[in-house]
Amino acid sequence: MNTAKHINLWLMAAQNLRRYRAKSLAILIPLILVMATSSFMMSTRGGFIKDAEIARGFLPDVTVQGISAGRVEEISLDVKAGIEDIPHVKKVVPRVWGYLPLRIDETDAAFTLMGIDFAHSVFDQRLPWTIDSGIFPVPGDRNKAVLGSGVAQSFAASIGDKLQIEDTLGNKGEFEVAAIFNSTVQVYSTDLIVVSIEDARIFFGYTEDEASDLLVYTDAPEYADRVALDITRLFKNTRVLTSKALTDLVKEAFGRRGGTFQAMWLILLVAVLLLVWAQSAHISVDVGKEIGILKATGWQTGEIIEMKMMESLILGLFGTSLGVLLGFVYALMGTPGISGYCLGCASIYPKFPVPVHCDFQSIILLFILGVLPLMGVSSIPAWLAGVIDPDEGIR
Amino acid sequence: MILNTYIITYLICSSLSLFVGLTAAVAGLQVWNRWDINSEAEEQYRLEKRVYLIITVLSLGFFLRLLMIPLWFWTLHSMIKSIPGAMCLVGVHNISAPLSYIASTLKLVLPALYGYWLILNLLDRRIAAQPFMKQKLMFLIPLGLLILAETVLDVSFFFSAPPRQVSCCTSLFDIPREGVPHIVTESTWTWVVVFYVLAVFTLAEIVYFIIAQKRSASTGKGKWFGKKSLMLCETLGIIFLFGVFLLALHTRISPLFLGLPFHHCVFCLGQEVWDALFCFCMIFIGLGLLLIYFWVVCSFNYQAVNKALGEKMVKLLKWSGLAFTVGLSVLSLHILRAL
Amino acid sequence: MIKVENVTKNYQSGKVKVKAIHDVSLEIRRGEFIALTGPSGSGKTTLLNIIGCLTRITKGSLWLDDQEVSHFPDHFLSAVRRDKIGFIFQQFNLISGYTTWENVSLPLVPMGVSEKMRRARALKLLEHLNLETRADFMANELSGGEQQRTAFARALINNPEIILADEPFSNIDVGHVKMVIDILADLKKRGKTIVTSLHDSNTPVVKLVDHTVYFDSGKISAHK
Repeated sequence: MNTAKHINLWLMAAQNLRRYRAKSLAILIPLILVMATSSFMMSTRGGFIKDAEIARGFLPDVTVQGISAGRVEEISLDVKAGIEDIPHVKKVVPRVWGYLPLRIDETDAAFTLMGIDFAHSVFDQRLPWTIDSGIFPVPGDRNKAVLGSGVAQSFAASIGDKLQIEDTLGNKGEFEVAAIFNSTVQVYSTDLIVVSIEDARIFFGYTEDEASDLLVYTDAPEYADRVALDITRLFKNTRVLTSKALTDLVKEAFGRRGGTFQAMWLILLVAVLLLVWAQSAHISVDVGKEIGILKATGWQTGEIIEMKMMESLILGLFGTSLGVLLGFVYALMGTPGISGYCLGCASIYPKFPVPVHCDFQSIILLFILGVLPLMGVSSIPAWLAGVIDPDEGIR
Repeated sequence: MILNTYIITYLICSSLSLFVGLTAAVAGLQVWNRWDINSEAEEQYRLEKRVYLIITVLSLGFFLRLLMIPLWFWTLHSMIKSIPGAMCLVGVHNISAPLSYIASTLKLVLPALYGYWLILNLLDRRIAAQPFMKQKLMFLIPLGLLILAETVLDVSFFFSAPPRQVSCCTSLFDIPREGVPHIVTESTWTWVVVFYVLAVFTLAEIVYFIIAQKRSASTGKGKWFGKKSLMLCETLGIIFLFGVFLLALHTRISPLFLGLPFHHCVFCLGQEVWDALFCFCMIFIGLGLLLIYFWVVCSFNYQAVNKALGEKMVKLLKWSGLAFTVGLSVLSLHILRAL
Repeated sequence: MIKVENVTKNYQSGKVKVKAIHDVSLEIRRGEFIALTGPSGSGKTTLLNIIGCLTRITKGSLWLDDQEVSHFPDHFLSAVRRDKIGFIFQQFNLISGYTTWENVSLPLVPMGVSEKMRRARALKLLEHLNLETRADFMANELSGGEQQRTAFARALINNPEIILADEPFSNIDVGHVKMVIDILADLKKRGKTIVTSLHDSNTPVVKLVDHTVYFDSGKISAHK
């Protein structure tokens, strides 16, 4: 392979793009915009999925909910002892939780109040990592709450404050702010209020032998599927969810949402490709003459085609790189203008930044989407340019 | 039907690949019908222009096909969470097995066929009479049909993904079942030993042909040039070796590397042990290049081509040997460490 | 060295078939200087294009250095053009977006010659043609005579054996005619085979010419 020849053709291609600046920009600008759209979509989708993966660390191996007539409802604590007897089950922790529809300063908000047994806290292994300020409550602490960053901001609450909570359904209670979560898993903690399970029972009106669900911890995560299967077999009217299934559900939801976006985005891509086709399929008299001259001076058809394809490749790589960068920066800025739609929970107040994450595979996908279709569309015009007869081109 | 970014990206590439394959096949058929080197120069030139179209799209297609290999497996991987019961690519393939396995095999075979065509074209263009023109044009018809079949398989695979429970590798291999062939579930060193014996033989063969190819460079003569029977034997031999490699991975290497005595899944191996995936790719590339070598040199025997061939074919063999050796070394080191 | 045997070239102009040259035969030996003359449309340029492998022949055959090239595939003809032929066009045909030296070095690009080497070789030729001060000018900034000399430099950059010049005097002013004649004389002295088309057979260059071939209506009408 004559590497020096290919380098020369690359340089000529780049020079041609500079020479025909207007034409190059007419392709480059729409390409940058389209790739930026795709890039910010992928990096926000990646952010949600990454959050789901981090949050998996907080989830129990198996979550068991009660079901009555096909609907989810409270689960009786009688089930707890039965589950504890299943092989490879380490511990079973009840939990009480529910949603709080609120009005704060004329604004609708929806928070989640979760009551846990502080002796078996799901957060206890990761406290330094998850708590921004304050001290996490210990077993026996009553009327103390740990707030998500969004909740703290909404109530303008700080450590030691007494918080009066009354939701629009009439549930009410008073809690002292003991700690505030940091933003490690923002999507999961921003709207969260963690209290003791006893306080949550009182708040939601649960009886002592009821819980919203049971959190099952196994000897090793590999046993989760087997334990889940045993619970399903042993207890009717239960809904059994493994942590993998829960995170997969989030990934799947955002994956599909991303896919639907991407399908709509294809229309934009096709529009850019049509533009590229219109720009490159029309070979102007000047370009035709140039090709004729090049061929007359000994350039081969294959070399002309290669140079033309390289022009598309350079445009594609440059446009995609800039577009990806632009989209990522837009996502990092919090997708101004459309963050509410991205988060999909319009009632959370105040808003929190859209999570952003971009991995190697996503970048490769973006480059495939930006470069390959462009090369495909350019291949026929490149061929048409390459096979211009030298004498006809010059004439 | 499942729709995510990977699937959409893959489908775009698949459409492009279909466009490449059909354009090349149709143009190839048109030229093949009328190609006659002794006819009017103007008519030949018109046909040559079409050949340039074929070369352009197939060159693009070759790079596309190389990219489509990882993209296909990433896409399947992205579907794991959407398919109940799937934990690795076995579960995803089980959506529409055995057709999905055929689709995956085509992903690996098609780049080799493109590569073969491009090498044939490179050699053909070195001689003014272009002696392989008809052969290389004819080759495009089955190539186009394979791509069409592959696209149909891919599209039906993505669009038929059902929301039902599928079985995955765990249910098939973790617990040995009756009815599953013994050869699949047994944890034996036999196939690993057979693979190493054949691998050493293959390396010796590569070295032999590098030397022989270098010697033939000046004369353009070699006993193996144009030997169709050798091409057939080597093709079958290399396919057999690859099959033995898969069996070696499946029966002993997977359980050894994954640390689970009953877990034989090759896909889990590739998913979780990156150097196993690397050596799989290297051994596949090494054997693929060796196969291309035999297809090229055994397809015809033109002295002028043989001379032109010399240097390129030595390079091809060297790359084949290098990839195969690297793959084999990584595999051996990992086996020694695991033991 | 150059043998044209019973060559016919037809062009298709819409639905009309135009016979550009008909059954032309000609033999040119190495180092000869041949002039093709005749009225406009008589087929001089078509024959030059055929010898220069720029256009395919409809019938007949073309031999260069004992090789029958008329049936060569396209990429072989390109190689012939690059290695053996230097073409000077009537309209010079420089690419306006490139500088003078870049235009001169165009044939070297696909040969893999580095930019530094290309520039060095182009400058050497431009110096020989007294154009070194114009090396970095854009092609469209050059005068007619300078463009003509640049076109000569481009044709000579690969040191070809055959020089084909299409009406080299038709687009330059009188002051530059002598300069072009001097270049051609120098090339002849260096043993190059030169074929030129001339609209006017009384141009002073005919003194250098070994043979003059007269064209009329696509056929050779006389040979002197």
